[in-house]
Amino acid sequence: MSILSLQFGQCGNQVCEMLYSLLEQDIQAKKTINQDFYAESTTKWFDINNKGHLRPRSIFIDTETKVVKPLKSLQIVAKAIGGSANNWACGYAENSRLIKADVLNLVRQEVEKCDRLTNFLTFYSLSGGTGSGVGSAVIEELCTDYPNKILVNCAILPYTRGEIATQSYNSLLNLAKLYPLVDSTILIENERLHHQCKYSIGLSEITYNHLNALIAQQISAIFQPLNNTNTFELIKELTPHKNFKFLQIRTEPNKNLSDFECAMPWVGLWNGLNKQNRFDANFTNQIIASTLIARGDGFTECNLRKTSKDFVKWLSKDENFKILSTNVRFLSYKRHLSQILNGSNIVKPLNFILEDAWKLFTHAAYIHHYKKFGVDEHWFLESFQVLENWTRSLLIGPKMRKDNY
Amino acid sequence: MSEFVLIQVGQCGNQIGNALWPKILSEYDVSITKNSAKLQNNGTGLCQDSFNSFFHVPSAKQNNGYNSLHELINNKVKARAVCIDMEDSVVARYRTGILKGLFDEKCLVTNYPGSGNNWAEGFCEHGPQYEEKIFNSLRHSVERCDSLHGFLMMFSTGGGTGSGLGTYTLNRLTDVFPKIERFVSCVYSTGTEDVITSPYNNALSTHQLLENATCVFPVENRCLLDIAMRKYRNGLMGKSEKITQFHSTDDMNSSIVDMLLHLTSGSRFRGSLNFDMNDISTNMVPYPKMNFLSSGFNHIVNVNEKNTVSKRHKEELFVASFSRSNQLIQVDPLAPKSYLLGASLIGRGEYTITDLQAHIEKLQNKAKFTAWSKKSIRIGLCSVAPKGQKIALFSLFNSTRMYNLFEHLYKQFNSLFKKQAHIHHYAKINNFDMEFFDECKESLQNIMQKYREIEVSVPMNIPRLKPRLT
Ligand SMILES: Nc1nc2c(ncn2[C@@H]2O[C@H](COP(=O)(O)OP(=O)(O)O)[C@@H](O)[C@H]2O)c(=O)[nH]1
Ligand SMILES: Nc1nc2c(ncn2[C@@H]2O[C@H](COP(=O)(O)OP(=O)(O)O)[C@@H](O)[C@H]2O)c(=O)[nH]1
Ligand SMILES: [Mg+2]
Repeated sequence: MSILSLQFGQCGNQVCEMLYSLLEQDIQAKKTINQDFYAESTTKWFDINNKGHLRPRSIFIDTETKVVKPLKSLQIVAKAIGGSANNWACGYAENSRLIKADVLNLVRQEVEKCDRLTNFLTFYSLSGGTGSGVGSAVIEELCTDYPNKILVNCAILPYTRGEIATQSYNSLLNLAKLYPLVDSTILIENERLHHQCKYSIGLSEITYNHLNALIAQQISAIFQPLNNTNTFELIKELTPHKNFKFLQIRTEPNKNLSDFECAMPWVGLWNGLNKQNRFDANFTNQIIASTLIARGDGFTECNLRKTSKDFVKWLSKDENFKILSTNVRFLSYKRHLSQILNGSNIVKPLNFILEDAWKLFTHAAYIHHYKKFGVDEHWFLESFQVLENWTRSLLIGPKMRKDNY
Repeated sequence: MSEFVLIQVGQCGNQIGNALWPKILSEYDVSITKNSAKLQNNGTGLCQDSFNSFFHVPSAKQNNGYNSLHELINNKVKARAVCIDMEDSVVARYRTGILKGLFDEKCLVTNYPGSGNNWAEGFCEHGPQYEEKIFNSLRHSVERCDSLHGFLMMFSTGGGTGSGLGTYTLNRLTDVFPKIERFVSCVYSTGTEDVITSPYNNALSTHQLLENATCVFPVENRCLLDIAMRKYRNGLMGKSEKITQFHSTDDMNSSIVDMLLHLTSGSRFRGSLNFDMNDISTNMVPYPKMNFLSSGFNHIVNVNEKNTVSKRHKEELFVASFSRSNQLIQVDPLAPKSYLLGASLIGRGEYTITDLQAHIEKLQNKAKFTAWSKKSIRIGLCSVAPKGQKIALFSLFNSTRMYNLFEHLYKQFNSLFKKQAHIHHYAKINNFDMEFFDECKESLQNIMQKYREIEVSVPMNIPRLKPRLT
């Protein structure tokens, strides 16, 4: 099974640069000790050229060449059109037209080239213009062209304090457009990562590279080969209902391999994972489904105390909570635990977006920039409605009994 | 790579250009004097890509960087600039002075004997007359761009050529290149009012700027003068240069030049949170026509500060960037009546998100915002600091107190207009319609009104949409 990833905009590209270098690191470490894993992981993510070099099977897309240029990947679609002005509508309606055909062409070539290509993984930030807007247009097209492939969408949420004036609009418009189309969306919160860098890793000066290192770990911990599991099927199972398609990833440990962390027993890692919920403060997280992945030495399930009260009642236990394990280590962690979950606490960041965007919208701020590209008040209102609907169902859905769903 | 075409109009515009181009060259380590010692051999190498932003390099001549102006000229490298003046003296310097050969002869548009400090002469007479010539030059420059980011215009509003022909050109750009953004840095001659008709010219051109520019970065001479005096007192200027109030245009222009270099830095250089010029309008202009932005940064860079990147130094730069004395226009972003409609902070050099997130938090606590604008803050990271500095912070504000500028312009305009003073200079120009006066008066009133409305508005509290569950 192999993955074709597509990255849009500056954020997407920076995240993936980190992701592929981490993957390469993990793969190289296995080269001599675990050849099966080495082979499987390599074909999953990379093409090998005739010199024996690994080349990420991934397409880098941006509208501004400054950002993409230094990356070593060969498949680059970047038209220097000066960015998308932090405007989803500009990316979606205007810039995507200049770039879409090229991207789809490359995708087709890749799909033809590897017959085992099953799935797509996409990366971008919600708050900018290119990733968010061009991303929407291309992903929309992919969903129509390849209905049988699974597309897992990784979207990065902005800092809630604000980084871009139009970040809430761009996030709203992207989510409203794509959520119904894609199989699952993994939401990654910059704010949460920042918090983690600061408090669990203890960094005082945080850069995007630090955040990206965490994202790269999260994604590879989930997607690296795991016995014979098909990760994409696994993710699809985590999103059993059309109203609950947002996923999050947590990992432990996050510190870089200090002795203390390496010696942490499974139970300690499990507690660590649960402690991460503290970021959400008083927000109880109702879990719809979750999969726990343990990579490393001597894992046994009985190590973990499961608290079933956090799980929704309308799915059976088996559907709710899966545990998978392998004794192949992740990077050089002796034990590494990751969890991918479908939980109601995602309402928190979604609510921020709705709150901020609604405030702007009711004061008619910035609308004229979007109208220039055909995204009018009506379009906004529909997007608001769509997002309000899921947020609501995320709040009440998990509390319902089975027959309501 | 993002390219700009600079359009310098009139005496002021071209004098700014005269100060700007040497500084751009020095930013890319290109020495202007012929026999200067070779720099550490890296020349423009480091920023080769971004070099194309301001210069056209014939494709056969791309190399790893240039060390001297001499080399540039031998390789037929040209500045991306169109220089327009209705008199010859300033533009002539580009033909004969130290920058000789850097400008394309096709892009120098001149005439004799000027526009008589009369907007109408520039707009109604020279405009139509020189349109073809100007747009031939512009097309020539645009064709030599791979990805044109925007036009960057520079002129004063108080005279005739920059004010009249400058805004005429701006108008026509809107039609001829509708998709290309039009940034204008204009100089208001407040504090150096040496032109009797300047209140008319200011008002007439401001109306055009409100209508046609994507974003305007206004500069007031009284602020430039203050800053220049401060620099002087801090010993940051050569001992021989004496500041006497009206003969310090070079010193004054150096602050405009610094601003322009900051402003374009995000488009020219890499950074892990890129801030392109095109992002400015989306982030900073929440409603049409509220496109006048004030810019601030630390002007007094002491030698011993050049190498520090400490937290404390960053804090000082942050405070300096919104301090009223560092704005290029008399607007205090933190004034009691100032509500921010938007703010941008670009950290240049060794900045992290931690720094900028902390700045945002502080700004949100210090400044006043409208009911919706508290999060209307754009941050950017640019990896290259200004030449000779380790770090710098550049800020832009859209404050409702831009009202002050418009009010000042309006009052000055009105005090002449009431008496119908000097009207005949305008009325006698062919195609000048007296309605131009009424129009610009109304335009100033409207914009003042718009800012006032925001200052006194009450927040809307419309409940969010009710979810419809399926
Ligand atoms: N985690 C992470 N977030 C980023 C990175 N770069 C930018 N962002 C976020 O992405 C947003 C800006 O979007 P960007 O990707 O630059 O815009 P685009 O190029 O128009 O798609 C901001 O909210 C940033 O917080 C990065 O490298 N890592
Ligand atoms: N800051 C600054 N102001 C200038 C400069 N040259 C002229 N001015 C101001 O601009 C106004 C006159 O405009 P000018 O550019 O000479 O007119 P034009 O040649 O007809 O466009 C005067 O009020 C001057 O104070 C300059 O180089 N720098
Ligand atoms: Mg970008």
